[in-house]
Amino acid sequence: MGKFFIKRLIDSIPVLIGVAIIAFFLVHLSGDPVLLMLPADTPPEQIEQFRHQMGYDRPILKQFVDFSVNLLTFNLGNSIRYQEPVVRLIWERFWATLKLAFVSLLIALILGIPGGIISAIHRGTIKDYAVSLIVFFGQAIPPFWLGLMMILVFAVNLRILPSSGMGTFKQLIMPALTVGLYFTASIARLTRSGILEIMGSDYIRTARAKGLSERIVIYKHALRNCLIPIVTMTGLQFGALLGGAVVTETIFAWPGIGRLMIQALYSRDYPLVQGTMLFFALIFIVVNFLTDMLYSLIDPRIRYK
Amino acid sequence: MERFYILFKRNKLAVGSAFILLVMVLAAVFADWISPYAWNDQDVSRRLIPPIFQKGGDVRFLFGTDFLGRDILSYIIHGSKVSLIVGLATVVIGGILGSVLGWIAGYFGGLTDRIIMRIADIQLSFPYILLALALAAVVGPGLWKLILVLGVSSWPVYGRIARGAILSEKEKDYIQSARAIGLSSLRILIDHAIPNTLSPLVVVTTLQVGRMIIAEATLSFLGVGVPASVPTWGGLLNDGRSYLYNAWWIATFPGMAIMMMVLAINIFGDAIRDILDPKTI
Repeated sequence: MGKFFIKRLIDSIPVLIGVAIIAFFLVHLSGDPVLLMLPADTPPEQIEQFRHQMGYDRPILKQFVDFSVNLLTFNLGNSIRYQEPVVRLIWERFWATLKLAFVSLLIALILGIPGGIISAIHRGTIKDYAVSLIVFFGQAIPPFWLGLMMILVFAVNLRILPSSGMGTFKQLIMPALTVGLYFTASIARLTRSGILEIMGSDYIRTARAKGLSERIVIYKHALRNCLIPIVTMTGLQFGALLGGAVVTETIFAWPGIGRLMIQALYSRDYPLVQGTMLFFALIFIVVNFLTDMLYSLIDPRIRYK
Repeated sequence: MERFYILFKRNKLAVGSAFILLVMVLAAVFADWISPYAWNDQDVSRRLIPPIFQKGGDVRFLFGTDFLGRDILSYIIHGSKVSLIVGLATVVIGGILGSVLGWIAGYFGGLTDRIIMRIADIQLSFPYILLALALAAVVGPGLWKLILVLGVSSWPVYGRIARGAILSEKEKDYIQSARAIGLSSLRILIDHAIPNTLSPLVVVTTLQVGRMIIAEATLSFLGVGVPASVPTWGGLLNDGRSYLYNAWWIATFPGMAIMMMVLAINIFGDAIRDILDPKTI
């Protein structure tokens, strides 16, 4: 078990390096990073001054080395707009995004798994088609539009939910549903196909032959084996969840990292953009790692591969 | 191929969604003819007119007008062009890039495989929207730049599947025989191995089209998608956001259009998958 852990950890390193490279070169993609960050009519002396201040006049390799060294000490530079360390800005907003992602995930699991089970058990009936219909719509509705429509219905017309801000439960529902609903569809589908596949297996037949009630058969036996792909998918999709949070945070003015990144993009605050991107990637890598660990716990066969 | 066609006709969902898609494509192609106005035909004297079924509506503007007096229906018809072009082009670019890299990685293995998959892993470490977002913002506005960004950001999805499929084909007897009689790798790949990997790739491709359309809409919604000179549903949604309180139709209809298009594509893709699945007779 320990060996597996170490191996996975070592595997993550090249990925981290690659991520750092991409983040670093992001600002150099369009040529001159300084021109990217300053308004078009800045006088040349100020441009040069800024260039020197930010260190972009040094050779690229040296820039990258400094960048990487800074990364190791968790120094992501200072935000141009806020004039504060990027790390501090991210840390302040991290919990907001985490909260949103967590609740969204919860919603997706609570709605998705039972939905998938119902759909699988009552395959071919109205219940199945109803769930399938919801699933189809769930994957076709653009999340940001869903958020706007919810604001329209619940905040503008019915006036029962606030359209922005964070703090109360009421303010959490709509953003969480917006992010969670898209994911619910994927989970429901996965659960459905997983259960359907398992229900034909021998050990299920054995359980039924033993005389166990259908409910126990499903929840105790089938579901447990079905959990693996769900867990994997949840881990993998967490990144997509975070991405979805970005737009949702913007719509609902949720003070999270996603919104921070968008604002940074708008104000051309590229040190901040780099920082937030790196942070997202880091979270994603960590979640993947944890998912792998969890996966190996559920299915011991994985460890010996 | 003929079998496919027979199965296809039997599946009502496939036929229905294909029909709807055909209508949408025709509407996009003939947009200039069937749309009542040009999409950017502005007239501030007729701004913010509600849709026809609401009080104050005008028969000339079925879905109402926006804050610049543009007809929403016309905008939606013209916007479908962009959504379809972006959806298809990004899938073609990403699909070809991803498939080729995946096939090479899977078939030749070794260092090539490890390098290609590493790059895929690194790219997949970033949430897709964020990667596309950052790239699009840095690279600047432009329809084809956007298509390139979305395509390049999405290649790993196809790459993984192509690689997996080729890996399982590689071990099969017919490939071993082909090698034994001395066929070159290229010939084996093109004539034998690759055609058998196409099925899962086709499935993933159809599903990706919907995702790409939503991705373009999302980026345009955030202002880093297509340039302002191009009509896009996401852009109209963004405009409508400021008018939620007094002109709900500006944000509602483009979103419904996106939903309808993606829904039709997804149902079609699912039906295709069911048909291609060897387990169904």
